[in-house]
Amino acid sequence: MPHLDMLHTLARRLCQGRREDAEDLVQEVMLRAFAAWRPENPPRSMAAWLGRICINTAASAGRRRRARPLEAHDDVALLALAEPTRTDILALARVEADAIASAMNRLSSGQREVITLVDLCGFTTGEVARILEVPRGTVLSRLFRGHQALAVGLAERVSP
Amino acid sequence: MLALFSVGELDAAQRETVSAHLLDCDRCWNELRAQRLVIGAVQQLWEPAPTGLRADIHAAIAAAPQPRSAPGIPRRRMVLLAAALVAAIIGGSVVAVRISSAPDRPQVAATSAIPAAVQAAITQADGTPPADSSVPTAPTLSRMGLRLAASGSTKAADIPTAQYTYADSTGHRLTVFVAARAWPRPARADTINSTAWIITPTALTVVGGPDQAGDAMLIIASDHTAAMTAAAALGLI
Repeated sequence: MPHLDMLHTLARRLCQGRREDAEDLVQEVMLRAFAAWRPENPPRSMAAWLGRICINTAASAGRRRRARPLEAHDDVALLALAEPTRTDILALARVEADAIASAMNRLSSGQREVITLVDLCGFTTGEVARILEVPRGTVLSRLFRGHQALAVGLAERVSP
Repeated sequence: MLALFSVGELDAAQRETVSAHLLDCDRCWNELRAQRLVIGAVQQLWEPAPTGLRADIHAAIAAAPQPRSAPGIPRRRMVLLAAALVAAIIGGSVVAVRISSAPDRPQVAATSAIPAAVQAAITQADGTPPADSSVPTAPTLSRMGLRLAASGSTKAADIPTAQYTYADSTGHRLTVFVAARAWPRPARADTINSTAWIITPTALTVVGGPDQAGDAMLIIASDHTAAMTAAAALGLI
């Protein structure tokens, strides 16, 4: 069930881990996909098509806005972020799933979307650019800065 | 460049360049290690969909208004094609979707991948079951908008079987066979869970497996969504 698992994983991150919201979102995505499906014009990539519906559905339902952290200008705000140190890297090896989920929730929505789509759902940065309708450079920037923010954030959580 | 390197999207020449740089640059090396550790950590958050979600989705789609027909495509065909989409996303396979012009008489194509016993049951589903007052109580599918149209007892390939045929308000039919002994599983069937399987010969969906009481069941319908929803309602999946 690759697409359903991918959708569920994506929905869980978009809903910041809230199980019921994520399952509702997946159902809504499926209903929208069901309504929008045109056999004479099938999407080139079913996974990317569903990913885009999922992102748009989450946005239009306001799920992301309600949970969105204050720092909306992710690419600018994180320019000043410290680079991970050797100690950070050692700490990262010990990090657990709860800490990762929590650190993901503290990212900006843009970074969280990109990291989920690339690292978890397996889309290329080009596919993510098409899904999110942003330039590929923006995807790369969000990915890189998001990874940096996670590295530092996670290391802080697991360091004594 | 480092971001692309860490997600494996550089070509061979670019990879060589970055690799050579990493030998001499502690800063980039640390950065890359951190990026890779983060990616590994994030991948712990892969969460397969819970089992109940699949049935919930089928039920939601079964209850939803049917998709708008594209010009030139009959509504009935749209429903089947949309069902194929659902199967493609959720699992199971749709080998081919051939459309029956008479919705209450699904076309059945002989296929060597289906054991004779199952094929016989499928063929029999196309006819009205013989009346028999001794058949057990029919499974209830009224929640799906299906009413019992006929029931009887018969033998499907030598296996004593109760046969129930249901119809909805538009005349589409769904047949459920119940027997104490399971029919052989078709060679090309896809696994739904540890006991249930599905096969889609031409325009039909056939779901087999034990219900909650342990009786063998075979659900046959020309509408994939209806077959899957019935399978969920009867406890096969």
